[in-house]
Order: sequence, then structure tokens, then C-alpha cells
Amino acid sequence: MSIDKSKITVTQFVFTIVCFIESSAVLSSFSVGISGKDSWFTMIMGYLVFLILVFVISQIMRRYPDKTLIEINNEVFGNVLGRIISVFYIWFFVTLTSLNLLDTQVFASISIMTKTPPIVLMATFMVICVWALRNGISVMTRYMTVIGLLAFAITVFAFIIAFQKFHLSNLLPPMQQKPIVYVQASHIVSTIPFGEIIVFLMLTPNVSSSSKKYGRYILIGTLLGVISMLLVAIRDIGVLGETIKYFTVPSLETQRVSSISKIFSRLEVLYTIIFTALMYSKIVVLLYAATAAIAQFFKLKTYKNISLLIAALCIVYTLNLYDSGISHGLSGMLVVPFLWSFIEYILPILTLCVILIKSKFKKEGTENDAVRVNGKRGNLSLGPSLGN
Amino acid sequence: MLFALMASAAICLLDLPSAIRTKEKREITIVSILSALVIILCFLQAFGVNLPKLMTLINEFFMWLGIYYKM
Repeated sequence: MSIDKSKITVTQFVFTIVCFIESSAVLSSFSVGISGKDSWFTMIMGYLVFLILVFVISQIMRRYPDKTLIEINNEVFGNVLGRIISVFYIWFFVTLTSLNLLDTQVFASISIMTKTPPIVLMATFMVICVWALRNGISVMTRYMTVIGLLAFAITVFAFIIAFQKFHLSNLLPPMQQKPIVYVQASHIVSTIPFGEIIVFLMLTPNVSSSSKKYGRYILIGTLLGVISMLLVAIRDIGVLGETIKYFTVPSLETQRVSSISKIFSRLEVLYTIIFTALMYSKIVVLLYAATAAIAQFFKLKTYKNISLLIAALCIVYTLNLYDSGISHGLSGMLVVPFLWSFIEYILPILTLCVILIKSKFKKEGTENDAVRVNGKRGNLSLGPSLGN
Repeated sequence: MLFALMASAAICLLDLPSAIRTKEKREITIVSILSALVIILCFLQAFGVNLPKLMTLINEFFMWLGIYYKM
């Protein structure tokens, strides 16, 4: 049973996924820093790998539509092993919230609020997220459709504005790098924005849908998100060329250099507005997942009583994640894809395998029982005939 | 320091009272323990105590294991 009784519509669910993926455009610097002008290709490859996870998640959701990830772990692996696996997921949700909070703070510090102390930025952002969270999941996701559509509209508008500076030659010649570069960049893309979708297993019981076609909803949401990400990547590569590798937020630089005459210039303000809104949509979902998971782990009645303290924990954790920005960048490129692969891909696949094995044994058990019952009935019916 | 004070005040004025309102011993105990831990962490951070950089440690562990992309 869900810890939050409020329901969200399928549209809200799909657009929450769209916002979640679109907000990851800023994190493209991990893969862009490696594959450079071929980033669009690695995004497609990463998405294709991610389709495995879509299948796994949808199968789990279909089998346990009324349970969250923590409850599924307890049911599938038992009380002890299930709780150990849940600890991994809780750590993952808290870390992911903190990492995204760090990205938002870094972005705000380098682009709009250069003199504001980081802790003020983070605390203000988290207060808004907690405020939404304490009102329940339906309030939390109410504006996702607007944010998602607005983000897409701004992306298209920015693409048109940047067209003057767009050079197709920056995208050519494609596929000239070593194969390992494509493997690494695709691996990063499949884990850092896409694999994080696993968090939506905490929202399953709140989706009010009669058809329960979860795979289709996730597919539509991520597809819309990836189209937006591809547009951003192609635009940034076309405008910045090989220099794209050297920027922390390439999209911001693209917007800075784009303009139509002198009237439409300094359009990065549009990007910063929509980026902040998108990051809110991502962090609020992650914070909900972390809070709800911790509340369910400790068998609390509601997650609202611990929302503020989890937010405070995330802020302190954000300040103690990495030694420096370089360490963060290198970690995202070299180590984190392996670490996240274990939580985002291996654990869910393992869960699905155990579910399938258990259901097979259960089926065989019921079949054997049915045979035994039928046999007894046969003997009973045979009795009188033998007597005759 | 200001953040630590504000976070502690917010937790003590919002999270703890709503846990107490449930009148369940388990709920109150768990929320109190978690609150105390977080408040201690906030003050350690405020006093400039060097807390372990968790992700850096994990990075180093993975590099020691050899599980990473070589540049």
C-alpha cells in the first residue's frame, strides 16, 4: 500500500517523466565531455540500452501495481534480504537528490546568483521542495504538464534563435573516434539520466489508471524527454563545435551567443528560468522517493513527518559529496556509471528474475496440488465402483 | 551556523510536533532519533568538522578495485 493516498493522472505521470529526463540536459556534460560532436549518437545508443530497463520496470510494476519499491523488496526477497536491498535504494535516492541539488547550486552560482552563498541557494530550493512534498504527490506533480510543455517550447524556440550560428559542419565527420569512447558515453547516458527512472517505482501505487500499461507510459515519457535532449545536443554541437567539451553547461553558452539582431539577445535568462523549474520537478520527485522509502523502511505512518529532516540531511550531504568540482566531473565520467549500473540495472533485473522463478514454483505447486486433489477425487469415485 | 540553527528550528517546530501528534510511541521515537542525528550533522558541518566525503571515498574504492574507465 502506498504511503501517500493521493492519486495522480496518467498525464501527470508521463509529464513528470518528461520533466525528469529534460532536466538532465545539464548533466549531458559528462557524456559530451567524452564523445564531443558524436554525443547525439551516444544519446540514441544509451536510450536503446535503457529500453531493457523499461521492460524490466514495466514487468515489475505490472506484477505489483499497488506496492512501492521498498514493499516489493520485502515481498520478493523476504524481510532480511529485502531490507538490505532497500538500504541500497534509500542511499541511492538520497545521493541522487543531493547530486542534483549540487548541480542546481553550481548552475545558479555560475549563471545567475554569483555572489549568493551556496548554502542559501540550496536551503531556499529545498524549502520549496518540502513545501510541495508536504502537500502530497498530487500537488507536487500538478504543474509538471505546464513545465514539460514550456520546456519543450523554449527548446524549440532556442533552436530557431540559434540557427544563425548553427554550422552543420560542426557535426561532421561522424563516428571518427575509438569504439570505447562510444561505449563509455552510451554507458553514462544509459545510467545517469535514463536509469534514474527506477525512482518511479516509488510512485506506481499513486497512478490512477485502469489499464496499468506502465511500460507504455514510461516509454512515451522518456521518448518525449529524449527528443528534447537530442534537440538540445544537436543545437549545442552545431553552435559550439569541438569546444563543447570544455563547458560545464554547454546549453547556457549556446544561449549566450545566440541572438536575432540586437533585440533578441541575452536569451540565457529563458534557459535559466526553465532549467530551475525542471530541476525543481526532478528534485521534488527524488526527495519524495527518498522520504517515502525511509518512512516505509522504518514502518512510519506518513512520510510528511520526516520531510524536513531528510531535506536538511540532503543539504549537509551535498556539502560533503566531493572534494572538488573536478572530482565530481571525473567521478561522473569514470566511476559513477558502474556504481549506478548495479543499482539501476542489476538489482531490478535480479528482482524480476526472483519474481519469475517464484511465480513458476507457485504455479507448479498449485498444479501439483490440483493433480493431488483430482487424484483423491478419482479414488473416491473409484471406491463405490470397485465395491459394485 | 545560521543554516544549522534554522534547520534545527524547522525540524523541532514542524517535523517533531507532527510526529508527536500521531501519539504513537514508535513514530515519535524514530522521528526523534533521526532528527537528533540530522541536527548533530548540521552542527558538525557548521563548526567546520571535516566530515568524510562519501562519493570521493567510493570513487577511490572503485579505482582501487580497478572498476572504472581508463582515460
